[in-house]
Amino acid sequence: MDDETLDRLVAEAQRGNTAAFGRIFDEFAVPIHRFIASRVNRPSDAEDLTQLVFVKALEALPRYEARGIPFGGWLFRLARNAIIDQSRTRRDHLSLVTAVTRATEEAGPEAMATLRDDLDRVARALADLTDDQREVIELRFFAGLSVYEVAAAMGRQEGTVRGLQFRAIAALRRSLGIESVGSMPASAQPATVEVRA
Amino acid sequence: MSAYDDNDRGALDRLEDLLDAYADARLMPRGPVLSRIRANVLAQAALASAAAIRRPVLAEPPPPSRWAVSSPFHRRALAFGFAAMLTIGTSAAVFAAPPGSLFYNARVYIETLALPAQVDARLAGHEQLLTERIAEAEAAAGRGDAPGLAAALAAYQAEVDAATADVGNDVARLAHLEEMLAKHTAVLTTLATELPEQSSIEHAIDTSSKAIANLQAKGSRAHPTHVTGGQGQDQGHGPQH
Repeated sequence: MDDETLDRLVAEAQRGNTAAFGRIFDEFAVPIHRFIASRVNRPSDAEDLTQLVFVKALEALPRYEARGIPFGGWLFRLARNAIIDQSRTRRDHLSLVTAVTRATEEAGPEAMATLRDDLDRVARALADLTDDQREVIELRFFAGLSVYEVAAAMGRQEGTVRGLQFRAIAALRRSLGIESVGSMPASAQPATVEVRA
Repeated sequence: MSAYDDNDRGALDRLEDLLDAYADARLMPRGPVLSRIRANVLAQAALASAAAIRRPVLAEPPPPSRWAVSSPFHRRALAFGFAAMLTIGTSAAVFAAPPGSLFYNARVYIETLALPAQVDARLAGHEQLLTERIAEAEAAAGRGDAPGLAAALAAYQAEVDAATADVGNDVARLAHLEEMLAKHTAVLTTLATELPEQSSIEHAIDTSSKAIANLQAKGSRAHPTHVTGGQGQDQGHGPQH
């Protein structure tokens, strides 16, 4: 969805157009859910918080002004605050270690084992990042936000976000043993990740 | 990621692939999660929108006091905010109400009230509400909540009546609703075998079965060749109309 369409939908939703808010939901629901699911323990918590974020967005929408902060950044800031609020009361947020044990049911037994192994390594590598680095990765890669939107969501400067992302990627590559491979396309890489000793 | 040169591009692609795979496998919502959230959020949006239309009635100016704000704009804003908080707070309680709870009937009433006027959209809405009521009944039965089960089934029966009243005489719509009710009857029958002592299930099955019979009768009247649910197999021979 382009910025112009999004701005129009936001303006219509602010005037009480439910269908417009529905389209905004459709655009952001999956990224918001992915971001929240990466930071809470239980799938049911991710569902509850995703709903809460959109209800809060609905309540706060009349006060939203497009000037200065992109809508995606604003929405993810609500998500971020909802997660923080929940973690204060529940004291069990940040599930990356727990996520290691989550099942991956769709593949066959062998493929599933390999896939689960790869994904467990990714989860462990993410868990080793600093909180800020991990959040940047979650917002950039899992939620698909731009650096500008991530900066708005986190309340940081774009340069800071770029720096965090740079260091996070370097750390992930080290953890996962992903070396520079010249201009070799990704499709030509081995299927599984070799973890460096 | 322009800070990286071409030599790193393959490695970055590989990392992105892994992160994508991780997100798809571990972080994506499963099953009907998103549609459930969507229905709840949009119902709340519709309620807030309806409340906003009625708000001038609610937003009467407060009596003057030493806390009174002098500017009329501020007074209106305060009243508006209070009414909005009240509305949103109440609506949150209503839309989170499970069957058997204080606000459940209000929630069911509002959901029915919010159905669109256009026939197909309205029937689709009825269909969604019927499915929700059955799911609530199953959930209540699963947790041994007899009052919740009875409330969900009472709401289901009311919804069956409303859907039957709204369906009209179009043969395709009649057949579609009939098919859905037949599925629900099967679910209810299974519930009845698991919880034989629950008379509310028997009543719901009875309502559903009567509605199916009514739909079949309507279908036959509207279109004499309408063949339904194994009945009327002998009808429709010979020249039509």
